[in-house]
Amino acid sequence: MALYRLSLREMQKRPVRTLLTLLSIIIGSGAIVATAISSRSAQLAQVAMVEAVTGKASLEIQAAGGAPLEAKELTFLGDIPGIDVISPALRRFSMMTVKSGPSQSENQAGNAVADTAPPPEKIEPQKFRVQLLGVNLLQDQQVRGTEVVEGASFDTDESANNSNTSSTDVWIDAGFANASGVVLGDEVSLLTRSGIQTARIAGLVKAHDASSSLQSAVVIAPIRTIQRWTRSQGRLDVVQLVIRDEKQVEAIQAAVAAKLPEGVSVRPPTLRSQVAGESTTAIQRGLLIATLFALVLAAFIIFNTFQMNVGERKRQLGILRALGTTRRQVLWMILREGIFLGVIGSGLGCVAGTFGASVLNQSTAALLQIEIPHGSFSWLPIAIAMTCGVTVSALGALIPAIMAAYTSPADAMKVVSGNPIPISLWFWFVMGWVSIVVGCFIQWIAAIEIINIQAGTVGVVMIVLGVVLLLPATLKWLTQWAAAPLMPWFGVETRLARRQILRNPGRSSMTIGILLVAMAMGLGMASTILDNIRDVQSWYNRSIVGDFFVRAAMPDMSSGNAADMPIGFADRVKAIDGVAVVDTLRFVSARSDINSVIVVVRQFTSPTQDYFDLIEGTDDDVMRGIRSGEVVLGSVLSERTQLHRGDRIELETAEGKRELAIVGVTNEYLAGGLTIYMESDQAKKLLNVEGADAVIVKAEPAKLKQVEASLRTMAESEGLMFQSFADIAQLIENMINNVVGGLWAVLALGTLIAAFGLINTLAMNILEQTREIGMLRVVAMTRSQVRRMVLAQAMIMSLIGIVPGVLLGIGISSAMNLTTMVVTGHAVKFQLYPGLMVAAVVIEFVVVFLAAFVPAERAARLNLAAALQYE
Amino acid sequence: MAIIETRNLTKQFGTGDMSVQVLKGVSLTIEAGEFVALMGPSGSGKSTLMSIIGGIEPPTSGQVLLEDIDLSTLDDDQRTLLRRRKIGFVFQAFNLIPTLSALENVALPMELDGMKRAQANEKALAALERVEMVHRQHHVPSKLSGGEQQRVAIARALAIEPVILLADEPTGNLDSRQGERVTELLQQLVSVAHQTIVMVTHDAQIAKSALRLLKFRDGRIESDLSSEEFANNDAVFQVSSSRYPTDSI
Repeated sequence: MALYRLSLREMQKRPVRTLLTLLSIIIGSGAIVATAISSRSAQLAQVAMVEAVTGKASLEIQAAGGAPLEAKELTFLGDIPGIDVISPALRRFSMMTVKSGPSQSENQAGNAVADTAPPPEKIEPQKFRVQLLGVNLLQDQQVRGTEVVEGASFDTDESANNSNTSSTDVWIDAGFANASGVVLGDEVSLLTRSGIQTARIAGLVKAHDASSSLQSAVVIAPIRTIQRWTRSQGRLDVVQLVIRDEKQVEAIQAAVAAKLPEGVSVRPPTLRSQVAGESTTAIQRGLLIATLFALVLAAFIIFNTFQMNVGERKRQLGILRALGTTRRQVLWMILREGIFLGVIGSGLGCVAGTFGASVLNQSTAALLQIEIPHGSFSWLPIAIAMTCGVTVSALGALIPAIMAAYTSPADAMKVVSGNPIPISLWFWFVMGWVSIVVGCFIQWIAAIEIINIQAGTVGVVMIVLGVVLLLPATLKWLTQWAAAPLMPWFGVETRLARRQILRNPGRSSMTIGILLVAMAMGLGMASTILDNIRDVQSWYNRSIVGDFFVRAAMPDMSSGNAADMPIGFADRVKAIDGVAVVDTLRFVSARSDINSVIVVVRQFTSPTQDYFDLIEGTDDDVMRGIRSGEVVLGSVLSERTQLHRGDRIELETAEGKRELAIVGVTNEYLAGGLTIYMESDQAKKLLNVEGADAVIVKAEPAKLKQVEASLRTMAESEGLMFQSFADIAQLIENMINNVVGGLWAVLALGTLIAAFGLINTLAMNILEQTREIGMLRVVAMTRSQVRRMVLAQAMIMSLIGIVPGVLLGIGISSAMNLTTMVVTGHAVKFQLYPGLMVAAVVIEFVVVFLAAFVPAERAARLNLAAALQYE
Repeated sequence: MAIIETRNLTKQFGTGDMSVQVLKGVSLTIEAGEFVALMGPSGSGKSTLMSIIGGIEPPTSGQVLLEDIDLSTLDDDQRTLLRRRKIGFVFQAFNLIPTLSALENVALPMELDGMKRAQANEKALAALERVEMVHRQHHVPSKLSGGEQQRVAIARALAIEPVILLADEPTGNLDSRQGERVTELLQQLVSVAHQTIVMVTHDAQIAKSALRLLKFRDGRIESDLSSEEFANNDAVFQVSSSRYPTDSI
């Protein structure tokens, strides 16, 4: 009991040290909770997005290649026992125009096409890209869990078609209504193949089990209304079957398949949100790296803290041992303190981390352009953080506790002693190399996909950890090198600072490790972000060619689906004076093996290869091949199917199976890289595809302005979207910026954690040196000299951390780029960014300076008499 | 010539009911070449007086003049420079920098004052020679005995050629033999180099080596005796000896 009291008094006696120790644990466990909750939220959002598209259906009936289903051919479904719900659906993209009123103008939605605020005297209509979803309302309610939260309820006998509702009544997502400023009873215009339709907002709905995707705001209407508007009477896109008894699913699938017409299949639902899935993988990896580094940093800080704690109390522990306290008792006393502080710190960290998670969630939401589901709180991250916090605290305390227990009482009671915690430099040296070798191995087998890509992250962390473990053995040489630039200006202070660093190589190495990890992580992630941006820019600069674009709406970037264009529009554009070339673009859904793919059908009118960012194939071969019926594969599809230039890909289309020769592979981001490019005449022959989703116009250079004016007028009069290449580039840049913003937020969090860690460790360093600084102040040192000495310590340590930090950062970036192969279908090309490196070094120096400033000031203002008594 | 003059010094720690008045109007003058021993029970104010004389902490009221310089008129940096150039400190716990060798410890204040390293080392070596520690110049404190560490500390104080040397229980952590050596060293400094020394001690035998004894009680000077006066005044030592052992552990 006496030892418990002693521990407690020790903590009370040193409130600053106790608080700093707690802060270390709070930082570590808080980071775990923040990143874990954010990861989980992103995963939940992902599941919700998938469910929003696929619903709860067990099976899905679709025609090959996205061809329409004939409703009359599916009437047999009602006779098959075991099917609980049959929910047909027809989806089409459209533009919704809303006349801005007072409510709309106050709220500019994020996906508004025309998002400039209207002048007060003139009310501009706002346009939104929407998905028209025609369904049997009650059946769909059971598949997608849709609930009317305001306005008219769904018809109870909806199959009889609108007994209670007018034919123009539509329901929209409550979140989308809020974002777009639309209220119940508003009238909106919808662009369809039958022209512009006026609809009344009859109700607002909310899907319980799905996040509302801002990119595909849904307008729900009875299926026959949508069929009429889109001239698709009697046709369906998909029929979803809900089978509550999971054991019957296979038997029912077989029974349905037997009666389906040729070209129509029944399968478990396709995950159409593959792009979002891949995006999530990238985010998960980023978050996992951030979490692991936060844990490593927390472990460093906690270990450092306890090492200092035990070092300071060495004399007291020696007295305890001399008085008959056993080694085991001393060991448990220190360990108990670690566990006690671990529990308190982790608890506080969980609270802090939960707040931090909301910040990270916002970043993730911006990245995925989704709403993070509410109620994603879970005890799991709390449990993980508590376990990790307490375990890391106990482990951090363990080595110092063992050292304390095994120090001889006589040695411990000396007033002046050497290194308080003797560390075997060779032990750390060997451990360092083991860690590096194992880390490299893990990273290598992750890169060649023997193990999960996420597991490769552990390899990266192990390499960094290994480098940190090598530091103690090399510290003498490293400090000499790092102190050299400071010597001409602050010779004595620098020499004293260097000696202080070398006094405890283990602890100094850990502090340098914190800087090194922060630098490596920061530079690595930032380089990877920039490499990915460059890759996307390279893609759209090569892929998006033309002076002007006209389309009904922005294509859905995950599926490539676009709204219908009025028939004959392309021909009318050709008639404009000054138009040199009109290319059409059409997106067709198809399937290759297990992958849903988008066939991009376009005309390739340019004699040179201006269309692809080729990874495989030559410009000449590709242009020759694509005009003769060969295809170019998107990079992700090539990686997934392992099909390359010279291979053949089998495609299930509305016209049956087609085998197509591959002439090249292109870097691709559209539709998640799951694309096949085909020339339009060949597509008409092979797939019977006609029409256009978008028109690409090249104008004669002399008549550029004239063509732009004519096209703009024509597009506006037909309710279409007109964009110049600059507009598109800006739009994509904005999308990239959203993604980048999210990742920068994660990076900023890491930097913040490192800065806190550094402040904490330096403050502890100064605490430990209190008596010496006091003595130096008494005999000779001015306050400025003390400040310089503390800053020199920080600068030497940061200089040592910079070089390996920069090198590791480059390595991390390069390794992360290699592992993007799985996500993007090609390894994003690695590039050095000297500007970024300089910026990272400058930022590190600024952070170090700021982190060292408070401890330096504290040291300079020590109460000399009290400092001389400090033990 | 007066090296130190204090005028009606008071020092109070804490405020209100918790306040403790450690010095209650101490006035004294210390002349050049004097070896003054401060004695008295714990809490009598002798160490606080030493800190105030050394410019380590300010008095609550009153004045301290060091060579006619009023310490209360100086800012922190000026007081630091004064300590660096005019005052030598020797502490009970030695207070050497553990990461520096004996030579580096002694040279440090001079280097901090901007002296070239070679010149500082030269002067440090001379100071170490005076305390007979040249042979241990490259050893760090943890490799030195207590007596050796204290001699290095004295060398550090002497190296700057201070006008006054303040020693706070310099033999407190030493055995009797090492204590005697340190005391002899201090006596030599006074007799040979006419060094002014103020020394706080609990040890009556060591106090006998001083030329003047100031006895403190409850924040005031109880007695101020010359060496001749206290050499024959057994009462002084009887009181001291009853409270404090004459031999250190």
